[in-house]
Amino acid sequence: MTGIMSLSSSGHGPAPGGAGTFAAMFMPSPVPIASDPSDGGKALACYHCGEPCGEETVTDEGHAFCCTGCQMVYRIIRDNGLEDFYTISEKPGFALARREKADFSYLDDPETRDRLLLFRQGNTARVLFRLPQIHCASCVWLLEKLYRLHPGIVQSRVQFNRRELSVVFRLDLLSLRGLVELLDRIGYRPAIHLADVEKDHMPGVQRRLIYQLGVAGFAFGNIMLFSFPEYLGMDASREEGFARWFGYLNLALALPVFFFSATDYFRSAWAGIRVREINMDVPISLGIIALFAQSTYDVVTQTGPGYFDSLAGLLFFMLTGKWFQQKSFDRLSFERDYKSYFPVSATLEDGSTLSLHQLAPGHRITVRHQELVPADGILLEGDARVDYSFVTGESEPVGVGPGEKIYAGGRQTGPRITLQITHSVRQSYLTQLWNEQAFQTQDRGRASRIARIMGTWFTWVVMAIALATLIFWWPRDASRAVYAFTSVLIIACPCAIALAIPFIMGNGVRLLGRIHAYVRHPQVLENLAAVRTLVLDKTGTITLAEQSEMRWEGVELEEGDRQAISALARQSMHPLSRTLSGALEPAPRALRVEDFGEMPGKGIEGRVAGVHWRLGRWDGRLTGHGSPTRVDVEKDGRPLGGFVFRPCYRPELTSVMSALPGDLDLHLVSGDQPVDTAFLSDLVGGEDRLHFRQQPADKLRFVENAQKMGTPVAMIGDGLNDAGALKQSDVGIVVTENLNNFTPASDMILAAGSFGRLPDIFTLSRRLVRHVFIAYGLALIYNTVGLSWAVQGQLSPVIAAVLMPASSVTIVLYAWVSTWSEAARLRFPLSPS
Amino acid sequence: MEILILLIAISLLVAIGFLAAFIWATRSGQFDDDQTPAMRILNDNPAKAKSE
Repeated sequence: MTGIMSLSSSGHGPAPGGAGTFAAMFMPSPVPIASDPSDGGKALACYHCGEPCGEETVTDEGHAFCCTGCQMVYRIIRDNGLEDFYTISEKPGFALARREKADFSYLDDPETRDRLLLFRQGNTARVLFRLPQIHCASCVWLLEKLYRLHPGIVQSRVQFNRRELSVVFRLDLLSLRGLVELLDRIGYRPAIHLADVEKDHMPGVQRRLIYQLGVAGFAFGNIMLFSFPEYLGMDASREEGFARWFGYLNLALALPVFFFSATDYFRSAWAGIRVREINMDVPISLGIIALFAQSTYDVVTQTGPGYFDSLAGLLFFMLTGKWFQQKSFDRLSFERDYKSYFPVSATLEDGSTLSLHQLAPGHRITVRHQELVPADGILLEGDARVDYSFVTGESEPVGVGPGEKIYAGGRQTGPRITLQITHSVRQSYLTQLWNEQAFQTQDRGRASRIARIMGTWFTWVVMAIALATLIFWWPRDASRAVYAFTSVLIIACPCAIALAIPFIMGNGVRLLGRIHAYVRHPQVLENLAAVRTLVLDKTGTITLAEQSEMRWEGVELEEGDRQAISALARQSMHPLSRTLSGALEPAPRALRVEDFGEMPGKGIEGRVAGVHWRLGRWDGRLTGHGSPTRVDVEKDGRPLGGFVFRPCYRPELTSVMSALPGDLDLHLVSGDQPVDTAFLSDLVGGEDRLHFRQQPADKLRFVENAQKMGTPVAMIGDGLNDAGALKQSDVGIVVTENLNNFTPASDMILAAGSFGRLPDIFTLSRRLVRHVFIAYGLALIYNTVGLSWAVQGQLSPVIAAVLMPASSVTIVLYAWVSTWSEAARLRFPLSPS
Repeated sequence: MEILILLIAISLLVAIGFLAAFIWATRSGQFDDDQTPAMRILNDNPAKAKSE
């Protein structure tokens, strides 16, 4: 017989009786559930972090603190005259009490230290930290006042949107370790990972484009001024020789535009031609060169004023489009690999630290609570409960017995363990994935496919028209033939076309940011619109990462039994035990547990009111990957049944799946054992679309094979185990509960709360591509009108000066109106949140 | 009309001055971060009362 108990998860009050299911919160880190403010009557909010004060409330100078940690930070801040920290923003601090202590002794190693320092001269050094905790104006204020906290700190600057702090300090007064510990003490623990010591530091903001844009804008304005007499037909100026001087001045102003602002277009066009590919920049470069050559000829021979105003104007518009497209989400990193997650060093058995590069098979290392296992190894001693959530998405720690393997990437939750390394960091099971082909190939998808096809087609048509014009005029009037030839190239310059993608897709990227879908590059939207195969990961992607459902399967339990189980589970710190004791009604304090024993990797046992109870998995491992976790209950050696923990699917999952475009081919690829196959096959449209027991490399292969069928593939995943498939797919989408958390390299980061928006994202990308084509049509109309003059050899600079900006402005306006109306149709928030 | 030449020269000089200012501003990193300065400017005043 199967009974399902209905229980409340928070640990407050007795559970209502009767049947039903419930969801129990799984907290991966040992964070107790904050006490409910309503049950305390008058709940005090901590002066520092704003969280409700519980039992440990400390009072200092009339302010209440939830813990001594917050009080200590307050004291540091107050003693240095920095109380304004509390007046700038509400709740500026954050809770510290439940954080684990960190050991920063590895920063004393001179090699590690020097790798982290950006710059060092004598005793003055500069270092850059990533501080994900920065969240408000108070943080900025406090962190820029660091010099008041220690005389060794010279200056500190925050870069808010990148969540970075740059500190200049004096090594003779303060060590790097001291600096990091100081930051840690006031609550800002720098994120220092393997990537920080391995890679060259990130290049700063790209300033080149800003210079190019500034120069083009400067030249554009001034050339227009000098062209005014020409626009207004003021022939008087011609007689005085001004026209000639204005022409030379314009030429001088256009030189930096041609030789500096435009160079990236030439370079890109040349790079395309070298690999026998005609991209959009080829006709653009042709147009620019024709413009410049014809204008210079006109000015030097004094046959006309030239088209320098059009040249500078076009470059100004195009560079603006580029700049608009370049803006991305600085705070998020789309390029992370395991190195952004692994620590810098490991602690050897004897307590000394060793940098991760030097870690080799045979080394014995210790891993403390909440520390990461940096390389594959075998457990020598200790109670290992490894949380592989970053690797597999599975939130329940896995029990490992002595002699068993522990894989790199897992996080120990529990007392200190010792293990013997069997593989170096690079050769470990997980990190090997990065040796795959997908990670070796360079980033392909940056150049727009539409623009490439358009560019090829466009170039040939324009060249054909230009040559036909040349051949037609040559026998009649040779000089007019050359003029008409360059005119065709000038007027056909697809500059307005080049604006369509940056503005439409660039705005699309911004709009998606408002629903918390962060896209790496506008090109991703175009790829997404082409996607016809969608591959889903299961755990953490379509299931909730931190919640699971607990059911009782077995004979019906009496109240006394439940209390006994609860009392026994209360004795253990194992996450499953804690969930159990929190979920079951609290046992009376009088209920004593005797002969309590805990077998790592198996379970717990003890005597309650004279009855011997055992909880856990005594016949094998406590949890297996993916199979529903089960805690068996034995009463005096007699099995009663078990508690089964099942993943909890996202509530919006069914509606999302039905709202996705109908032409999408859905597949589910999971590392787990087959579960819920009936439900899942309904979801994706057939059992043959469910693929279980897929290793990380299998997932990558799966995506690769799907791509061989000819359609672009999108992959949605969350963990490092999806990293290969995400990289291989045309669009890799990562779902994350917390944007500050680690996410594998991807094209789009989707906040878990916005999972329900997935169909909208697909719809938007497809509609935007349609608008790009409409914008192309509009630009072609202008081009055709201009061409009708050009082929007759009658294109005057004034016509060009009106027609070309007009087409650019039309495209920008169309891009604006079309993207905003799509956003309104899909009910996107109208202001950034 | 010769005065026009002088005026043009002056206007060009002014324009080049602005271009130089723009390049200097870019070089000194003023376009690198467009968010933090907005937060920074609001913060400074009250602190002075105590410390100085």
